[in-house]
Amino acid sequence: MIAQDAQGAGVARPWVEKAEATYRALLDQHNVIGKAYSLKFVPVGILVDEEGRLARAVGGVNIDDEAFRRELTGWVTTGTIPRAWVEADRRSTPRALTPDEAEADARFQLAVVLLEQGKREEAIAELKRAFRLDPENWLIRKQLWAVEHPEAFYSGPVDFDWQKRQRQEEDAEMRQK
Amino acid sequence: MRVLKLYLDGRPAPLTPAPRLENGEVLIPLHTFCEAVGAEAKALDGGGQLAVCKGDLCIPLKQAETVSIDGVVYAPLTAFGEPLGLRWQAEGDSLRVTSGAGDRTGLGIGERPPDFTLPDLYTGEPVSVSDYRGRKAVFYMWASW
Repeated sequence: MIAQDAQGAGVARPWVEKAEATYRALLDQHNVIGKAYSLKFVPVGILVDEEGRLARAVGGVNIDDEAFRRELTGWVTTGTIPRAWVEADRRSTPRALTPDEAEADARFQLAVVLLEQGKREEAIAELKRAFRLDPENWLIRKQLWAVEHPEAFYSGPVDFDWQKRQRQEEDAEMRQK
Repeated sequence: MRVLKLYLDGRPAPLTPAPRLENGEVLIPLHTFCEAVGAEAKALDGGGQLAVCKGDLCIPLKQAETVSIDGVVYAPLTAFGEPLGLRWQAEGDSLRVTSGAGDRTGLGIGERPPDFTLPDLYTGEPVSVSDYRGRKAVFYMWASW
């Protein structure tokens, strides 16, 4: 379990504790994985075999999904890579970050440092610039929401209605530009 | 009605005419869209019944599902998208379609993913992918937000 949380361990730990996690929990405060793996959203699963080779990188992964669980169990017990994984892999083309994506990442990194220094307003400004450069990057976009509007994330259950409204407002704003 | 720009597996794939969002439903120009996703729209049995075919899979479209606008046949993506293995999201003026590739992260099966080292959430002790050599490992990325 790797928490993609720019705000650090404090915001991530309560979730791990509530889940009574028996697995190891790590923290990725600086979007190390997002950059190395060109991830733009969570949740994502990365499956690595005994030799350190990738067996599957899967987005929107849900362990309660029966088909995925079957595939996963098969891979763990027999080492067989399911046909579905191979087919999904065949259809994909890796690519490098665009200049805008690279700049967005740089601004994200800066925002993390500013957050650590307690400069919240400046961090928000950088996150907003990052978001405008890479609007499809949900790691940036939702991180910005969580920093700017903690009440929608960290007091009680996550407010998905709020997220929906926020998203619609931002999308409308972007369309106007 | 809103005109949508098509992105296929994260890349712009402009269609003329463009897909459109009508009453919350994504309508795609049938022939050009099918071509773009490696499928084919054709008449079944030479009749008026259209179907979307890919490989040996054909999904017949109901007459009521298709609509002709300025001589171009449109169909709702919901009529055949899922059986073809497509996933999509209309957001703003973008229509993002993934053909199963969008859930990939830039590496292929059998490749060695970049080794990373991250601190334990509690102890701060550094942990690397390479620490798990000799065992299968599942890394699951999540967030509090």
